[in-house]
Amino acid sequence: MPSDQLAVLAAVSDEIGRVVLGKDRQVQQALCCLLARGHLLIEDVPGVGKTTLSQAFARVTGLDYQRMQFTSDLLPADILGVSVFDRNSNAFHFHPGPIFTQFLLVDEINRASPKTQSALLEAMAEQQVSIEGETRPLPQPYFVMATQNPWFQSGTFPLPESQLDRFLMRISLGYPDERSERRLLAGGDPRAVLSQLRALLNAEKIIALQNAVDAIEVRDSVLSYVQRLIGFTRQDSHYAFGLSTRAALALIQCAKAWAMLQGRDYVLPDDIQLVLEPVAAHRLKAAADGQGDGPDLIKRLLSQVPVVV
Amino acid sequence: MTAANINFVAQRQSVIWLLLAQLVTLAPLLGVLPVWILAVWAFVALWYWRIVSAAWSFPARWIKACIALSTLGGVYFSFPSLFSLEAMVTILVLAVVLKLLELKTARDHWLILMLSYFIVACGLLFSQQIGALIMALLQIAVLLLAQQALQRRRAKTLPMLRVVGVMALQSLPLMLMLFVIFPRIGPLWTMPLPGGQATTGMSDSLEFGDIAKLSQSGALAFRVRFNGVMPASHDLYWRGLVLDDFDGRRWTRSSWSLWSNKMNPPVLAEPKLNYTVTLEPGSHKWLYTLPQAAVSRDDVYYSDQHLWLPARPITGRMQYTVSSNLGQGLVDNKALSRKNLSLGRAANPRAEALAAQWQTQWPDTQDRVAAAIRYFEQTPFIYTLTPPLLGESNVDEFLFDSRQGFCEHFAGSFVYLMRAAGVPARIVVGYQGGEFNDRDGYLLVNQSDAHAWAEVYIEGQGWLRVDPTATVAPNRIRLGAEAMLRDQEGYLGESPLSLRNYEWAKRLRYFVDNINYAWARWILNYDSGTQNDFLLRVLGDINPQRLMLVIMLAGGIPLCLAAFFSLRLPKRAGEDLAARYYLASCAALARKGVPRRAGETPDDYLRRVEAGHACWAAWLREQTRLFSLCSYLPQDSVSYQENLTSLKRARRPQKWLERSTSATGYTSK
Repeated sequence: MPSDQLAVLAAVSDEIGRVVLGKDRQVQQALCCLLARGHLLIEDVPGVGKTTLSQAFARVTGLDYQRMQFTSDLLPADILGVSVFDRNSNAFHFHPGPIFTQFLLVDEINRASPKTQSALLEAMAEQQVSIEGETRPLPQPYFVMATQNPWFQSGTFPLPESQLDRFLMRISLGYPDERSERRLLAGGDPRAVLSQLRALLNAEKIIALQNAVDAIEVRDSVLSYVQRLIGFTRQDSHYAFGLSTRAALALIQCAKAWAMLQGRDYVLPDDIQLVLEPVAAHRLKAAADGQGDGPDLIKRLLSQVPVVV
Repeated sequence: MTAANINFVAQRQSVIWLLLAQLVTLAPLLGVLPVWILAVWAFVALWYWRIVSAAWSFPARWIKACIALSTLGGVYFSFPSLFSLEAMVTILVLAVVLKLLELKTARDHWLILMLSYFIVACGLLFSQQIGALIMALLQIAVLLLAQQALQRRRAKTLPMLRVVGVMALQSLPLMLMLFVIFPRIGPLWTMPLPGGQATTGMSDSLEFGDIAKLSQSGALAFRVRFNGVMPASHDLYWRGLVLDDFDGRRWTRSSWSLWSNKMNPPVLAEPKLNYTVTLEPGSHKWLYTLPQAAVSRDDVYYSDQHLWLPARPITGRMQYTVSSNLGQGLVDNKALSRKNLSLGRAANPRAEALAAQWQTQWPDTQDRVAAAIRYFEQTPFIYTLTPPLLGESNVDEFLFDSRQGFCEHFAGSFVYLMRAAGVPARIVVGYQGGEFNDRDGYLLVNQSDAHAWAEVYIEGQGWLRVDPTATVAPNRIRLGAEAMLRDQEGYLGESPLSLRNYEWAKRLRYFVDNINYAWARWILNYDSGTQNDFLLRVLGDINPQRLMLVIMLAGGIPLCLAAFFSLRLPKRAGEDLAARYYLASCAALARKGVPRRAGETPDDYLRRVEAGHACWAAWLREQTRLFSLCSYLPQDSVSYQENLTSLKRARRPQKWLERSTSATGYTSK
């Protein structure tokens, strides 16, 4: 891998880190998700910097940016766009909605009704939108970053499994550590810094990076580790259902991107293990109450499945 | 019937191998089969090839019938009798060759190959020399390859050869066991064994020129191994048969002596000379011994001519042990036959006149013998392989005109003169001398050592040997036939081994003969008697239980081995060697108290060991590096094996530490 690409990626992390303090790992994961051509779901309580992260991300990547605040009364047409009758030309003209952009930030995605949420499905999975019988491609690269509040908060509709599966990764930010928080408190509003961020990437560079990820080598021994992992979730009684093949593909793609971020051109089992939680946790469900949530299930997976056989 | 009817996919490879197998089966038999068989094979093979290439079709029924009948006719005209072994084998070979024109199923293909095995076995009827066996083994190897080519999708020669080798090794113990314990059943009927009429050897009659003809052959007659010191060459008179019946031209065995001619075996005085004679294959009607001899064998008897004869002709190779006392006379214990004085219807007036002169001059028979020997010494005779042809009075013509002759001329004339002079005399035919193979210490007696000499009867002393050739050409006896006749035209003229003048050629010939002799002694002579002795010695007692045990062991051990190697437990899914050696390394470190957790990646494990168990860190770092190189890094086939080997070698941390500390220049990273 060319060293200038590596340097750019490091610079991107650093730049975002200026705004999102002490969350290097989450920044890396978000970057990894972008490089793996996936969409990112950030789940956390309000006020820990979800939106800040996405905004910083949008600026530094230099992509066209649209932000939507989902509410319970939002309709699909509000996202996709509408055809409006133009009296001058005596015809309908399509007015594209905010979804037609390169970087879409969906704030509080689980506040919208499932009907509206599903309007995002096709766009995220197939990078295209079909409205009134016409299929319109979305700009490339296309990256959706969504934030959601935990399901136990009021006024939320839980995301359907199919929608969750569309997100390559789900991460949570968590409260900042003491030192970072102090810096934040002392430094004033981080949004002031936001406007100073430089755009280090652009669409072409991102597509080149995404293509470079495809060239990362995954040997059989890693593939069989992935198969052992998903096989375990399908057989073990702790899991309500096993991981899908799409999950396995996602795991490999993310591990490749992660390896690239580490400056390697091959995937180690360590990469799989590091991306396993963000990739798989939101796709797993405990078979019974009291068996723990996503992270516990991932921990079980990591400790039970042998890396080398 | 069209080519489309071939209901098995005649793969090109299997067809090529089949034709090759047929050719290989045929080729060594070409000395026996008529040569036109090769043309028939080429024709049929070409036809079959065209059928497989979908160019021609299978012949119609009447065409096949015509071909079969015409080839059978060919066999009928090629051999004197259809009921000879050669003709039978030819018919079998023809059947296998012509089957190609009906080869439509894989089963036919199989049948041809199976019959080819049978033909290979038939080849051993014609020769059992070690060369023939090696040839047969090579043929079987080709047949096995052809069988595999029929079954395999892709006929690659090397993997197929490996299978042949494995099969050979697997069948070896069983083969050896069967050789050792399979019962040697005597012939149930007499096979018309090949070559009985054609091989060179002694016949039971003698005419001038017979032995000269025989001496042109380089073939081996028999081999002798002496227990002790070999007598001098001039004492080696191998008596074969006695010719005392003379019809005036031809010497034969007296016909009446063929029955009731048994005599009690002689009692030999010390010192005895013990030796073992191995006759080359053939039909043996007499045994060659040095006089006076005692043979220890059940199926031979002692004749009144002091010869050892088999009760019934013995075919094949024959071996017997003899004790001899060279000094003991051949004394008859019954009245002398008048045959020994008969001159037949011969008319040799000059010789008879000479003999009559001796008879009147010397009243004592011994003096007459001495006079005759003196006569042969003083007359300028020439010892030659190519004497002129003699007319009606051949003894006269030889003694007084041509004076050129071979041993039978001298012996015949001598006996004639003696009989004419009233001394009982007869011709003895056999071999004289031999060629000592000092590589292995035994004597080779060749057909070129064939010889004829005379015996005269002296009252009180019995039959005394007189060899007039020795007086005419002393070197023939002293140095042997080879030294004497080497320069003569015709000697060994039939033999391709005219390289006898060269020392290296002689060495090579002795070496090859050593192998053949060992082969004959240990393999071909392993008959029911030796088998019995051997089994008694090895098993202690021959009973069915023990034999069965031996057979089962011989067959069972290779089977068990094959089962052991083929019934290995299936590999664990995804197991590869690098992982195996890495896990072995981890297990070794676990024994040192630092086990790796199942879900721990190699790098995590390494970090843990580096943090808590620094003494193993360097070793584990190297093992982890090698394992990652083998399993995770982009594959490089060149260094993969090296890394794997290093990984395997260093999977014991203790040893690795010892090695690296003892190795100079090692620095811990």
